[in-house]
Amino acid sequence: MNTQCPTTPEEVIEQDEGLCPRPVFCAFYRRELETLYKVSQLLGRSLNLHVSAKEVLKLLHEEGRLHYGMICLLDNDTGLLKIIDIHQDEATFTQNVSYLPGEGIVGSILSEKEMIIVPRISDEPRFLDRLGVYDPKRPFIGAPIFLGTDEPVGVFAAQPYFADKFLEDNAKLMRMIASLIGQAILLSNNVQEQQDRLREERDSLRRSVKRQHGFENIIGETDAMRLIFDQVRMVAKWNTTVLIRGESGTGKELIANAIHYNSPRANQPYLKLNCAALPDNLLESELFGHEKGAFTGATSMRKGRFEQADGGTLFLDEIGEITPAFQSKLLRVLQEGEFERVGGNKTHKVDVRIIAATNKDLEAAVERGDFREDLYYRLNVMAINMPSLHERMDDVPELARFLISKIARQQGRQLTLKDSAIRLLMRHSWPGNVRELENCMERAAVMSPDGIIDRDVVSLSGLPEKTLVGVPAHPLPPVLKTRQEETPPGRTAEKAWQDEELDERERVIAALEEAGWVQAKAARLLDMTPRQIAYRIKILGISVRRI
Amino acid sequence: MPEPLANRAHVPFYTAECASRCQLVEFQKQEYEKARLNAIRARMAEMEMEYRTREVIDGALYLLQKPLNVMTALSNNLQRGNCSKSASGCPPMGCALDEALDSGREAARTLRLSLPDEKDFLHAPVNINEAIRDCLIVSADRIDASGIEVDWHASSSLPMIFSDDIVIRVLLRIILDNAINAINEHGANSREVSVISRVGADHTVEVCIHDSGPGIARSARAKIFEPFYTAWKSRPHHAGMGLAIARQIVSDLHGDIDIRESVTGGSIVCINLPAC
Repeated sequence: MNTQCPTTPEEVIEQDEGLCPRPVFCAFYRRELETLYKVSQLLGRSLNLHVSAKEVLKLLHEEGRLHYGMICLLDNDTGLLKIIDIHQDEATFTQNVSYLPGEGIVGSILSEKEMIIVPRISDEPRFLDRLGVYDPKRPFIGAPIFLGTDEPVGVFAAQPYFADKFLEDNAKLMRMIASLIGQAILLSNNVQEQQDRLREERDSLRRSVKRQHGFENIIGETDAMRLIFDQVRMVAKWNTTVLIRGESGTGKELIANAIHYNSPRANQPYLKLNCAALPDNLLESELFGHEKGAFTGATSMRKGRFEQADGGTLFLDEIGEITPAFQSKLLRVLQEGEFERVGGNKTHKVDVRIIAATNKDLEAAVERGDFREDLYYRLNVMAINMPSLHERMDDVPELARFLISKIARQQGRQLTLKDSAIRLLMRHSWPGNVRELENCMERAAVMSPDGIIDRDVVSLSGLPEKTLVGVPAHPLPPVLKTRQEETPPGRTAEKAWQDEELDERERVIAALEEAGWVQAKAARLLDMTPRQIAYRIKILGISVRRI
Repeated sequence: MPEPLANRAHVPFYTAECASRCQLVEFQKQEYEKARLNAIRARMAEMEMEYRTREVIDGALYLLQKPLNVMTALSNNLQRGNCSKSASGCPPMGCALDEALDSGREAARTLRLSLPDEKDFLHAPVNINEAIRDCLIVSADRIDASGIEVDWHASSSLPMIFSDDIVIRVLLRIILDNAINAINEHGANSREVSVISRVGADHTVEVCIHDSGPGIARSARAKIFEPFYTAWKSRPHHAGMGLAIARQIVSDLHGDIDIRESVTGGSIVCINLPAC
């Protein structure tokens, strides 16, 4: 290095020749400019401070003749100056050194907000030599790093090789680099802050969406629904195609949501598409996307639902409505995970979980030849059959209460559902399933001026008397959710737990129902201790609803 | 002589008797701690075994259910198609199918019966830092043997979480084990695990375990929580149940588990559990 660069005034005079009257100065400033240029390039390359700091220090050590460069930043939590990075060549030393503001030479730079230039470091009384890398015979330059304000946030220090007349110029270079580093830190801090805020917001939104679509929002105490819950819990874990079947209005979409939001893909995209809503060719471009110019009006390339849902879940509603031509395309995606955009040649590979739903009789469609048999078997790997509301009449009271509380929240007023209304609801056959019940409840809420929904309001809101089934004289007790034939007619649900004729299991269940499944309360009703009732729940095999 | 007495007053062990008593107390404390950790270790092993058994049987049931479902669909279609036309009953293939279906259903039923009973856990407020500490001690041998440096940033003012004290330790242990496995895997750039426990957003407690292993491929990210899936290439063979169990525990506790890559390489597993 000495041969290229004169470092003492004597050498300068010796080498003084050529066109430039002081060529060594030219050489020095050219190198300085070069170094500055490279540093600014390195700092602009990455937003990660640790990566770029390492590169910059390496560059300065090897080319810029500023040895053992060190960047310290103020830690906001502890108020200590912490070494972010220090150039390490063959020797490795601990980086766990920190300084208090005002402590040692580095600390003084921070507290005095001034640059410090020492021609010979061993002459400096404040020098602590904590790191043990700085040569005591050589000079030392330290510059504060500012972030736009007057308060420095860190220190940039290094050791030039010789204490010569270029020391001042070296110090100037150091100051420039320090301000460049300051800019880089400012930028990376801003970006980091924004990213953190966005991530926090995203996570909190994800959590709230997840809460909305959890099992808590699916009502069902009947055996049929318990089976559905078990199936959903099992299926959610696996990466399998699911077919949800059931009449219209039974909550197929709700189940699909629950599967997605309880699966490991919950944080990935979840897209829905109603296959019946679009004609065949539009459906294809919607699902697979299209290239630019694929058809009239395709002015730009468009990603399809499959590509958008990569890594996540795609819910295809009304899968029974698609044409056989389209079924074969769908089959290929299901089997291979491959497809082409409309008008494109390139094959795209995606990892998408498909949840399909239909209310059609697929077996009949297969028999008629409307539905491809291979696609039928492919979808039938995991089938969930939603029970109609008529098959789970025992859930009607709780469903009605849940829907009323939901409507009350929407309308922002108090709504109370009377038992008489529930008894009326229990006598309807509900061909439109839960959706019909929801509409009925909504109508009733609108019809009721004082927020009390009783029998009259419900029948006014359109439950025609002739559609009612069952005998009005002895309706099923609304709070006793056991099977109809087990309950003798005419018995009211009130005080069912006191009835000596009922077996013990029924009485415990009735008491639990009354107490809202709070065991301690139910124990009081039955004159038992909480331990006794817990024991009975266990030996009678009463399943308390979990999930 | 009052002076030497006053001098000796601030010596910690005033008399030989006192010193020996102090030593005894210290020794008893250590013994008690050892016994407590042994008890926790045993209960953790038991609990993990139970979770593992349930998860394996659940997984087997699912794998059995898949072909059964297809066979059911097939047999339904056969009955609709053929049997209605030919009056002489089902063709031999249909009969064989039905028999296979019956035996499959029977197998599924038997498996379901052998599922361990679901325990109702006693949920109580748990200090998660204590749980992390116990887990680190329990896994200390493994950590030492792998030559791994563990860095733990514990937030001092962490709210309690509502859980069973053994279940939460099993959960943390699985994730810690996973981090150690990742580092033992080929391609680890350094041998460090850092554990961070802090207050998360939305009134949650967040525990992040960061390893310096090779990281997880994007394509494997969705499958990693699936039962029977294992990404470890090095010996010994793993059953692939760890993260599946962890996910089950986290969802039982109404929490959230997420896996992502870190900027410095390796992967971060973050658990968010609702604070009480």
